[in-house]
Formats: sequence, C-alpha cells, structure tokens
Amino acid sequence: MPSEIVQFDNVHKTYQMGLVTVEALRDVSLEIQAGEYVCIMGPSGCGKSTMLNLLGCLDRPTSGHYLLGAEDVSQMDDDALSTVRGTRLGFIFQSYNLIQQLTVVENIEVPLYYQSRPEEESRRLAAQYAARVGLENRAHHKPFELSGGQQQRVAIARSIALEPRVMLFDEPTSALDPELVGSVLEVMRSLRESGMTMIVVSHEMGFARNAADRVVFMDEGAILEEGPPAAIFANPAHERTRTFIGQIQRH
Amino acid sequence: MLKYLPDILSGVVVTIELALLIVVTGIAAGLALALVRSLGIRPLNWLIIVIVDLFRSLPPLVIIVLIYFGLPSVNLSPSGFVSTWLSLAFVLMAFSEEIFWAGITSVAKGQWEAARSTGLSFGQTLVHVVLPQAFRLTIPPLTNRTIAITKGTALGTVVAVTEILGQASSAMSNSYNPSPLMMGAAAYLVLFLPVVVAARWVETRFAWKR
Repeated sequence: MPSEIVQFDNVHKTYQMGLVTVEALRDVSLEIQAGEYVCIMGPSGCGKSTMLNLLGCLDRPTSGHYLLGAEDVSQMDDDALSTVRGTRLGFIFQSYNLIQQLTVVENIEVPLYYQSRPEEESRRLAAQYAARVGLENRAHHKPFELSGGQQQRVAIARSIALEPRVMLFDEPTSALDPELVGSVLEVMRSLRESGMTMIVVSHEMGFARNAADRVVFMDEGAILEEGPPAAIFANPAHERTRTFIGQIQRH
Repeated sequence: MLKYLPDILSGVVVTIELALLIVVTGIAAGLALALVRSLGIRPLNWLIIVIVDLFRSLPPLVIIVLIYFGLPSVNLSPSGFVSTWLSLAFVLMAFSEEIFWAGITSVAKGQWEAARSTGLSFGQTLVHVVLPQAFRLTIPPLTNRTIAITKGTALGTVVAVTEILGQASSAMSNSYNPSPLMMGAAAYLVLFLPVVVAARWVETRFAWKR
C-alpha cells in the first residue's frame, strides 16, 4: 500500500451567510501519516465538521492547500474530485444515508456499479463486504428492517468496498442507542487493525483513548492542541480543552 | 339515440389522443424544468419560476382562448386541437414542475452527500439516487393533478374540438334531446374512472414502507 499522507497547509474556509462572513476554519495546518488513527474533538461549532468535509473533498478550501498523497486536490474540478472521492476517500456520516428502497447488498453495490465493474463482480464484492461488517445474514434486508448500528455498518461497508486509502467518520455513533454503539466501534477497530488511515470526529473518549494515535482538539476554527490521547486527556495544555474534556467525561 | 353513438365514440378517440398528448408532453416538460432548476443557475431559475407561476395562475380556459384567438394576430393559426393540447400541456408542465421540484428538495441532503462521497457525479447522484426517491413522493400529487388537468380536455369544445363534450352537445342540438349528454358523461366515466382507480393502485404500490 503506498504511503498516502493527508496534508493541510494553511487552510482557510469562509462561508457567506447573507451579509455575514463566517470563518469556519482559520489557518489550519495538519499532517497525517498513512495508517494513523486521528480523533478530532471540540465543542459544537468549532469547525470539525467543516474540516471533515474538506478532508473528504465534499467542499473546497477558500484558501490554502490540501495534499492527498502527493496530489493537490484543493483546486481540482468537480469531475476530478468525484474520482478522488470514489477511489481514495471513504466518508461515514452521523445519519447513515442509505437508500431506503434498496437492500443491504444493493446499497453497497451502487457506487461499485459506477466504477464500471462487471455486474457479477460488484454483486460478489457487495456480499463480501456485507459479511465483512457482520451482516451476511441481513444481506437482503432493507434499511428500515435494520437497527441503527446495522445501518451504520452498511454505510461503512459501502465505503470500504471502494477500497479507500483514508476513511473519514463524522460522529459515526452519535445517532445510535448506547447498546448499538459497540458493534460499530468493533467494525472501526478491525478497520484500524487492517492498517486503514482513519480520521474520526467523535466524542467516544474511551474508544479514542484505546484506538487513537493522536487527538486533535479544535476550537473556533483552529487547532488548539494535539497529541497522544493519554497526554491530551490527562494533561491538556489549554483551559478550553480541560473544561471540554471535563464536560464530556461527566456525561 | 344510438345513431349518435358513433359520434360520441369518435369524440372518445379525440379525447384519448388529446389526453395522452397532454400527459406525455406536460409531464416531460415539467420534469425537464425541474431538472434544469436543480442545477441552481439563478437567472434560469427565476425564469422557470415566472413561467410556472404564470401557468399556475391563469385559468386553463383563458390560455386556450388566448392561444386560439390571440396567436393568429402574429400569423400563427393553431387549430382548436393544438390550442387545447398546448394550453393544458403548459398547465400540467407548470404544476408537475412544482411537484417534481418539491420531490427533489424533499430528498434528505444526506443522500446527496453520501452519494457524492462514494464518487458519484452530480448527474449520477440525481438520476440514480435522488430522482427514484423523489418520484415516490411525487406520485400521489402528480396523479391527482394529471387527472384534474387532463379532464380539462372538455374545454376544447369552446374552440370547436370534436372531443366527447363537443360531439355530445352537437348531438343534443341536433336531436333536441339531452340523452347524448348523458352518453357523453358516461363516456368520460368509462375513460377516466379506470385511470383514477389505476392511480390509486400506483399510489399504494409505491408508498413508503417503514
């Protein structure tokens, strides 16, 4: 596997909301090594979702550069970005966003179909990846017949079937009942063990402590501090980080 | 009375022709406008909204009369048939555009994001992911509107289209007897009742399972 590195160089992102310009990201620089597991944390509105959208090429930076591998993807046109998203990046959302009319394998098949693979191969791959996330017995069920945790695992299968180099997770377990979180984290753990580069926005502190190589703490559109989870959780450098960690631990 | 039956039947044929033309062209044009609108090109969207609101506000009969009696002044002389077809097709286009557009916008944003994140282009996402979901939501209002507007073919009588009502009224004038009108009404029922029942079936068939 080639050593794909995610690199943000002085990335800014501003949105125009009517007459007001919102600065969602201010001068963010970040480097992520292949195989690394990075957890992004921070209070609501700190820019972590914007950051993940940019990392997933769902949006472009207003200024600054985003290097994926050795390639600058920050100025690519829409077609080129579609290819990047389809071949190198996987994105998992808080809401699973499955197509309700399609079964588990059909949902996994949709993006494969557009990568001009033979139909049989797509079907085989879809079944294989459904099994990979523990849903071999649910392959022909529709999303409304599945629990939230199972639906999120289908979403993960749909992404990893495209063999991305980097997986992005935007609060993958926040919409789930507590007893369903475990099954999703289990799949994420096995992905991590397979050497996948993972960038996760999540407030699952226990999981971050065990699995993450690095925690990035954001506030007001900037990276406030970063480091190994043990260090950040036990001994945060900033008061803001300390209060935030205190709050999510209490609940 | 039976001697008027062939006239009524020829009226049925004209009504069917007219209705099919209106449904096919009106819905196709409405869908095309909704698709153009989804591209989000602002001046085009304004234009679409103006056209759509115009045809939703004007009574269909006014549009028919405008086309039939108005266009000859610019050296176009559409027949009554063409005037009725165009008018009702425009009205159906306007309403179906709004219905399709409502369907497209009611598909969750997450569906777009998820599809785009797996590498689908804008067009592929629209065609393969968003439209199939939008169509389900549009079926009940669309079938309703289509039936309501297509029945308006009877307005063609005003501009001498020999559809069911036209045939029935002239038969009535010739026979001094209202029975042909009853035959006309029966013909409408025979024509549209199955459509209404079929629409109901389609609506249940495509309803969301949750």
